[in-house]
Amino acid sequence: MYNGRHKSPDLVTAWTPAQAPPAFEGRGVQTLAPIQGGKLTWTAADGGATGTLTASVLSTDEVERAFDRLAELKVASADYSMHLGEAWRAGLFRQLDNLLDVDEFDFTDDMPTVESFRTFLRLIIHNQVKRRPGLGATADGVIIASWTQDRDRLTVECLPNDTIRWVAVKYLGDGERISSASISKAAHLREFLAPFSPATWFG
Amino acid sequence: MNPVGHRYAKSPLTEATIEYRLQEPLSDKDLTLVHRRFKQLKHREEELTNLTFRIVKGEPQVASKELSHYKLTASDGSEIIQIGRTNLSLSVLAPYPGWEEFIGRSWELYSLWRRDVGIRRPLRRIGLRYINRFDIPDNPEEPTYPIGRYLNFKSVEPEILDDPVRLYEVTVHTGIRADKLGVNLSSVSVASPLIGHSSLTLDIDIFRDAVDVPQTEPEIKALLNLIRQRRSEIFEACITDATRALIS
Repeated sequence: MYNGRHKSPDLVTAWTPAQAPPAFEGRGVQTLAPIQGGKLTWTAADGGATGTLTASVLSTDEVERAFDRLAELKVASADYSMHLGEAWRAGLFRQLDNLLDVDEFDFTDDMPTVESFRTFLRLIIHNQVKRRPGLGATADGVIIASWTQDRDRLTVECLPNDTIRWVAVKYLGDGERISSASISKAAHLREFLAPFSPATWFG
Repeated sequence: MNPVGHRYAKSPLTEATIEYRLQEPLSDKDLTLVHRRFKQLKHREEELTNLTFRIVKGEPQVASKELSHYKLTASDGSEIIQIGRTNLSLSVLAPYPGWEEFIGRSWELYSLWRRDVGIRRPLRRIGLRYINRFDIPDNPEEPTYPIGRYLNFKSVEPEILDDPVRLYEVTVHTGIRADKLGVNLSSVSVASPLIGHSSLTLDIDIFRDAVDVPQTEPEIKALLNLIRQRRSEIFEACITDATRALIS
């Protein structure tokens, strides 16, 4: 079974052996089954023996969707540009590029949504965040921002409409672990985190 | 009042556009050639078409279909180029890259455009448009747009209207006679992208149209520099010190 993701031209156009996934290199393609459920079934002739391989195929449509969403997120950031530093914004764009890298993104997941991204940007601006967080996303397209300082961790899910769900974990001088979790409005996170000394994460 | 070229720390510029417009429209063939050449930019493409419908026995039918223009968007959304039958335009979103870079880029595209459009087709209009947005913190004790505090370019309502202004829009079409420039100036209240803020736009559109439109490279550059100067003067005349404090 070939499980690699493979960029392709259009799924519904004719394929040639040259377009087969790397696992088929030098093996030849004998037959090609129709696409079902996003899967493409290949049959290979391998020194007389044949085997059926299945490849998850990344379609042109998926590449375009990823391109479009990446552009939408970057264009959305233009609305906030005057409140973000140039270097901060450039770094954020690199993170978005990685987040929606078509070779890495699992297209069975939803892409990060613009609504979630707007909450993220407001979180950053209204809490005067200077340190850029790590960025991730849930399977339903919610952006996750995380800051780590030694063992101290802050993880924030950016939901639509300026709502955030966050978890903070901090270790005190004597090694005692304290933690808190809540759902709140993005603009007030720094206030909620006051007992945790948010400058640890936000700078 | 700040001089031309002054850059505010929190530049309110959300979009800048430069447009070159021809006197006569391009043929299908020439537009296709221009489009093909601009493909080398590898931008995201959209083809916009004008459709005319007619209703026949209650059903809509396409009566005519004509290519309007191509819209090319950079992958990071940093520039949008539009190529039409009569025009080439370049728009950049915030953050504004600065005059030299913006005008330099527009000149690269203009040169590319001229390769297929040819050097003999005269320009009818050259224009620059700058859209600014000011994010004003809400004040619970002042539940209205404090327009007069932030803009000198504003409407004056009769005293009988004593309710707070909830939505605001003002536009004038005017010009600077000595420079043979047309000016469209407008300001609109818009939803702020920030929490607890209200926003006002200031849209400055300056152009020379039909009369004494320069055709050579040095003349065009001189006109663009003049427009830049006037745009800066208009901007500074429209805002107040309170606005400068917001964006500094």
